Amino acid sequence: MRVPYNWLQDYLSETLPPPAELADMLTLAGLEVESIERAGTKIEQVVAAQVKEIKLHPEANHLLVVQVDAGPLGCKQVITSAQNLRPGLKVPLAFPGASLASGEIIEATRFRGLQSDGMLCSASELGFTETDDKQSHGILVLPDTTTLGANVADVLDLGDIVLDLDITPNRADCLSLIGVAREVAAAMGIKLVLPPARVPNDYCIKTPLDISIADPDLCWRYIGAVISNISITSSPTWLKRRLSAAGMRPINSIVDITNYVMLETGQPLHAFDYNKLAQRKIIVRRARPQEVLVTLDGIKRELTEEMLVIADSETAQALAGIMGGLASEITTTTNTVFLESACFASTNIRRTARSLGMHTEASFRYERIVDPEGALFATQRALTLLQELGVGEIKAICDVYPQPILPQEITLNTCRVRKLIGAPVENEFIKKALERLQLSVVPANTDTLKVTIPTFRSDLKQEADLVEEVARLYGFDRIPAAPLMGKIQVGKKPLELKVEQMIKSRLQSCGLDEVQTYSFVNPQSIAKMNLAPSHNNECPIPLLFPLSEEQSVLRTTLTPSLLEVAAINQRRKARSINIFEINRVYLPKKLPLTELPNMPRHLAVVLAGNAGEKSWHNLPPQNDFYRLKGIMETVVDQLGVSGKFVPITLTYYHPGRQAGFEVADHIVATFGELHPNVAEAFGLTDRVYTLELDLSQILPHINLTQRYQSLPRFPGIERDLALIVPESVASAAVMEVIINAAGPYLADIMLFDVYQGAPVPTGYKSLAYSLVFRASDHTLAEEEVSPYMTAILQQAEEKLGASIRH
Amino acid sequence: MEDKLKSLLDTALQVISSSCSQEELDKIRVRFLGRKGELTQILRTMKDISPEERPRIGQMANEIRDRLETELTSQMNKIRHSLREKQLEKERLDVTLPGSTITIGHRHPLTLVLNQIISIFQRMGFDVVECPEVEYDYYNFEALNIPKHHPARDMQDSFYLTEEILLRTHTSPFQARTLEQLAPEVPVRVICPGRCYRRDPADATHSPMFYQTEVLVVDENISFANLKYTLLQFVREMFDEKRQIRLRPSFFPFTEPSAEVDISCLVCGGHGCNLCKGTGWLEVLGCGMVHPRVLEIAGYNPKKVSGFAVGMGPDRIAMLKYGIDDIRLFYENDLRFLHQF
Ligand SMILES: [Zn+2]
Repeated sequence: MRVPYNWLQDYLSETLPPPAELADMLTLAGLEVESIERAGTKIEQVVAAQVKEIKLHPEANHLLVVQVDAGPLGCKQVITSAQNLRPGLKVPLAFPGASLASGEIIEATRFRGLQSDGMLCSASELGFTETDDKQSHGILVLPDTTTLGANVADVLDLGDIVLDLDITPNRADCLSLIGVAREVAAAMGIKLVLPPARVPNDYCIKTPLDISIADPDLCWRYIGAVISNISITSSPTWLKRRLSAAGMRPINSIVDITNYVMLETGQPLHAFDYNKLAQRKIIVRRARPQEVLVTLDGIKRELTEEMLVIADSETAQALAGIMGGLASEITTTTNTVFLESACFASTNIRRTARSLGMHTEASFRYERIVDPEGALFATQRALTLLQELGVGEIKAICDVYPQPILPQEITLNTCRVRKLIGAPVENEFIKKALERLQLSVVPANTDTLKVTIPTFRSDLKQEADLVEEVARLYGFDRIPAAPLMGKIQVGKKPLELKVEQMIKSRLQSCGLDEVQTYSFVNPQSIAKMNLAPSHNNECPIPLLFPLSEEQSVLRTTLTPSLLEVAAINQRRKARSINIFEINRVYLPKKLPLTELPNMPRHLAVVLAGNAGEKSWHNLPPQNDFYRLKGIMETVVDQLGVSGKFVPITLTYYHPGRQAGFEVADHIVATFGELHPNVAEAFGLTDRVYTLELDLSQILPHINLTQRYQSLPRFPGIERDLALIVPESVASAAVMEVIINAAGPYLADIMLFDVYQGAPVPTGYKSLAYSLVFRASDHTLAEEEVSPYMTAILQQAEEKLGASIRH
Repeated sequence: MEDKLKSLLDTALQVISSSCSQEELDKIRVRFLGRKGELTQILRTMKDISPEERPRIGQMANEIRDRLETELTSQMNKIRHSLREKQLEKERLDVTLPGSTITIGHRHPLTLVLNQIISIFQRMGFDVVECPEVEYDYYNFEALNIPKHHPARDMQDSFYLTEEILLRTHTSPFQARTLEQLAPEVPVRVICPGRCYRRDPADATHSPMFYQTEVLVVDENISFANLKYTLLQFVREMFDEKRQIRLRPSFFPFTEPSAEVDISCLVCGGHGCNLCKGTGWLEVLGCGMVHPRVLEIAGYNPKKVSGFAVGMGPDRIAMLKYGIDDIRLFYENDLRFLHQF
């Protein structure tokens, strides 16, 4: 809502504070001022400066070299040919980049070898056309009191100052200058001055007009007025200037007056060419099936029976509350005007405006409820202006108001006001504050007020709404800050969030970077993953109206999003991409959705390129399958989840490099080297490793209790053991055999080497372990361990075909 | 004999002091103090001297032995010391070379801010709860006093999945869900973080997906003054102790009175600059007293209890805190961006 400052002043009994102060006041009253601007002038970056020194240009005797002081903006040198300068005068200085009234942009230039840092401006350059002779050719002289460096547009009050207000949807009453003025009056404690809206009584309802409301549920009030002997002209300058400042384009005197009154009162008005209305009839009704209407913008609209129209005896002539029809538009030949001031049901207007994609100044106001009592005032105001401007003669007014809307009454308990606000607001203050807002207040007893709400404040429905009004006028800044009281309790957090944090910090210490990607993805990215058809990834939930194909379905897996992040970073030359994300995926129980989907949290890891940065001092650490597995292990170890790694066969992994992690017979995570076809599809080069884990599935198996284990009191015996086994034997099987045969003293076992190649025969591999044996109650003797070492060898030979490597 | 011993001492001391390696010292020890060394040689001739002289000469020989041992040890230490010195001198490094690259992981800035918000409220005794991101229209709107065709729905163009199910447009449905679950129990002090979605195409200040955190208190005698105090605590812990706050009346369908909260500008401190568009204030969050209708719908008696709610955007707070000028950076995940946190 654009509010021209000078226009607003018309409706107030006292002088307004300066624009910036007024803006602060409105903002703190809840009408947020987004900007203060000067409309109607192109002058920018022209500031007040004082002449300090004048010298003749050494190379050109008609030019002067002038030093000026622009206060905080510094001293400048300007070359000019003006003759009216003398030291001490304050003059407008345009900096390079400044624009003048003509739209011309100033540049820094040189005059015969001397630099000019700008230009001193004459009155005409600043847009003054009618100035006296002595000023017209020379530089404009500013008042002595002007502050140096001040914006000249402000000093000379060029154009109109406009406050741009962001009105919240509940304050429909403030979509008008009078509404804003009412707020200003309340905040300042001054009087609202309404503009003249007098219509001689003898016109009223003398010649009855043929107006009927067929659908009174959608139209609460309809006032029509007929004005004849119209002369369509251009509006006077003051009116055009105000409309432009408020952001509306002047058109002709009739249309301009309707717009002016709408801006003034918030009541949309519409003017029809009366002679174009069949049988001069007005019927407010729902549109007929297949009815069409060409609106003022020239577009043919196909209407539905849900939509309200203003029709004559034959056809729709306007889309109620939104836009008029082209057929009954005011033209230069219009002789008689029918002026509509009506009140329509907001929900219906909103629905129609949305379904037709039409958003007009009128619909904007109707959607937010227009005051039914204001309709008559607006008509009278418009007719007054028509008379004042001599646009035509009033012939008739007719008001159809089947079910007048009565003001509501709210009971206000002032104790509750104090309790809710938390400040000692006195009864007297409460009463006065509400009265300043033009509510009428009658005390019922000591702490109870009966408050009558005028129809223009339909947003005030109950006590809480009045509490806000009192708090607003009391001033939010005056309300003290008071600590919460009550029992002290520890803030708790769900296990899942704690676990999420634990995993994040573990992965961070593994050198992984956390990413955050959109929950909606391109269905193509799922296809690129080449997922097996049985996989639930196949049926993501689609958005009904996505912004784009790239964001059209809810993801069922995190991995594709991370692969896209990896690809972008690889294109930007990142050499080591080690990323993870923990967020939800969305798995429908049934499509189309009939209930909320499952939304388990997943963890995904993607490793591409090096595992870390290289430098002059170290080679970059490498990523491979086992680093990824190490990351997987450290995550589950930290959470105390026990499970086992099992072979899997998913199509998007390298067929020989993938594994699952199984907990209680469910695979809760899969990881592996990405299949090169998939990597290629995502535009990734090199080998890529990915992991995805379903957090919701491991949650029940988490064990976070930590118990200390006493440190060994006796030394252990260390033995190294290298076994040669056939290539096909899994390392886990070897480990299992060793552990089973190692006896009760085995305290620790670690695989420290895997080797293939000479002298190990082809088709075999060597696995080297270091074993620690220890007893908790005595120092072990060699003889106690040797039998177990023998047993290990024997078992390994029998079960795995292993031999010892010497 | 005495002379011989004296001369041996003199020679030995001279040789010791001029020696410059461990090997040399070992040889010197053998030469003078060894089993076949010079001292032994001299002592062998003891039998040639008078028995009265023997004890004196013997003592003298012992003293010489001790003296030489001491000298040998001290010379040895000297040599070791100087060798080490030399060694160290050789090991001089160019300390201006950069250190080895330590690869550490980085947390996403939104996580950092989100964690901080949660931690501040948890320390004030608020429980953390989560609510579904895919939500029923009922909880997202109706239960929050936003009936169909309410003008406030204009402010939130939403991503619907079906007629009745949508991606939540704010974390506020949690108010309805939590209260419905807890009513009529008090006190309620909870915070709900999470992702929200609106049909805004991405630009520097809008993102179709963003984070929000909602705070809710319901108890007997909760006032606007309590809200103000809690906000002040939060803002000063989140930003710094110097921050001032300013509450402006505003409108949310589920709070009444409602307010927008500004903090004094982080760059200019309130004098006005580009960041705050000259106002000296930066908008950080919205809040208000829980609307009596919302309490009623959930099963509380608004005449007995009251409450306040605060909704804030971690994205916005992170942008202010770190001086980030484009919200899209959060979801683009350029590693050069992420590595700054
Ligand atoms: Zn600032």
